[in-house]
Amino acid sequence: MLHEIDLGGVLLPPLMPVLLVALLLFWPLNRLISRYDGYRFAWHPALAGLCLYIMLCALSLALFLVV
Amino acid sequence: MAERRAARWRPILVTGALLAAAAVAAWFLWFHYVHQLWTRDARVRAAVIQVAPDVSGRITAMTAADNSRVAPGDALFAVDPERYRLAVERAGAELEHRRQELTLRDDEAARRKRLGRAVSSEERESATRLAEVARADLHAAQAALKEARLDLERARVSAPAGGFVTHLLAHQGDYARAGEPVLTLVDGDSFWVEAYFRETQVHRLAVGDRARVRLLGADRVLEGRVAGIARGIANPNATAGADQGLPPVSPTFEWVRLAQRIPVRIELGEVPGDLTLVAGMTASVSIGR
Repeated sequence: MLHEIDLGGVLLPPLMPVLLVALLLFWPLNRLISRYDGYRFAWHPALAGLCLYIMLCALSLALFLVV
Repeated sequence: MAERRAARWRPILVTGALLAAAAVAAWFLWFHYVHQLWTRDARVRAAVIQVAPDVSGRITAMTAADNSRVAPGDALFAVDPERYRLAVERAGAELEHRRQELTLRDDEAARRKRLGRAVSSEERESATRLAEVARADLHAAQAALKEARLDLERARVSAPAGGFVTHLLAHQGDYARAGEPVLTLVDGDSFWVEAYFRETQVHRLAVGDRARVRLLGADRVLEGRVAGIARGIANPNATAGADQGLPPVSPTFEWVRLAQRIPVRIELGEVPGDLTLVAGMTASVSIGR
């Protein structure tokens, strides 16, 4: 279930770790795609990156809901 | 030529596919995060009993300790019983008085009856009635004795329910007045959680739904069930205004609205024995699955 994160007395909304985990996943993925010039297949590289990040957010929320 | 055109369209198609996938992902995020029946605005509640003595007097013994656990019927404190003991004695004497008086009146009535025509019928009747009055007085005296005994019994105040003594401010020697609370007892078996859901969420709630409760700072999830949804919250627009008795209708924004909160009662299932539940604690509640 969703619950707030207690960080030294500051209560963070549950979306915070979801976004952080997605960011941690997105980082190496972005590096990998850039390395093999994967973005040349995309129309706007930034837009493709944003789409990937949103998908990773959904994935990490699914992970949090399961755990 | 055709190949070059395909190559030109490919990036747009790839990005379009990514956008579609991201839209599905965003819908998933929205549905599971924003749409989730979940609230951080929940409080632990309990039946709070204000224990007051039934009789007035000085507190001669305070057996309850602050924050201690008591079982139903445990002695909490005692009010000076001396006055009530004397009252029982007096009521006993009064009862004896009435009993003797009744015997006297009964004998009188019987004697007048036997004398027949030697006494006037008025005198006969008044003797019979006086005997009945004495009988009623005897009953009243019996009830008074019972009442005095009850008062004496009530000078010892015991716990009306099992729970925890809280906010104990009275001490031995303090004067306790009948009906005025001396200590507060939190019923240990009555803990429930009051979750305040937004009015937009309440429509998707039903009595009996599974609820999961997480106390702030506790790493355990308590199981519970939705026991009921409050059917009324205060409407400040509906109060009688001070201005000529007209309703004080507050202005609102047309675009941005603040959803009101509706109390939803969550009955807790099994509560682990080592978990410290305190009425007033903050909790998060999640409904379903």
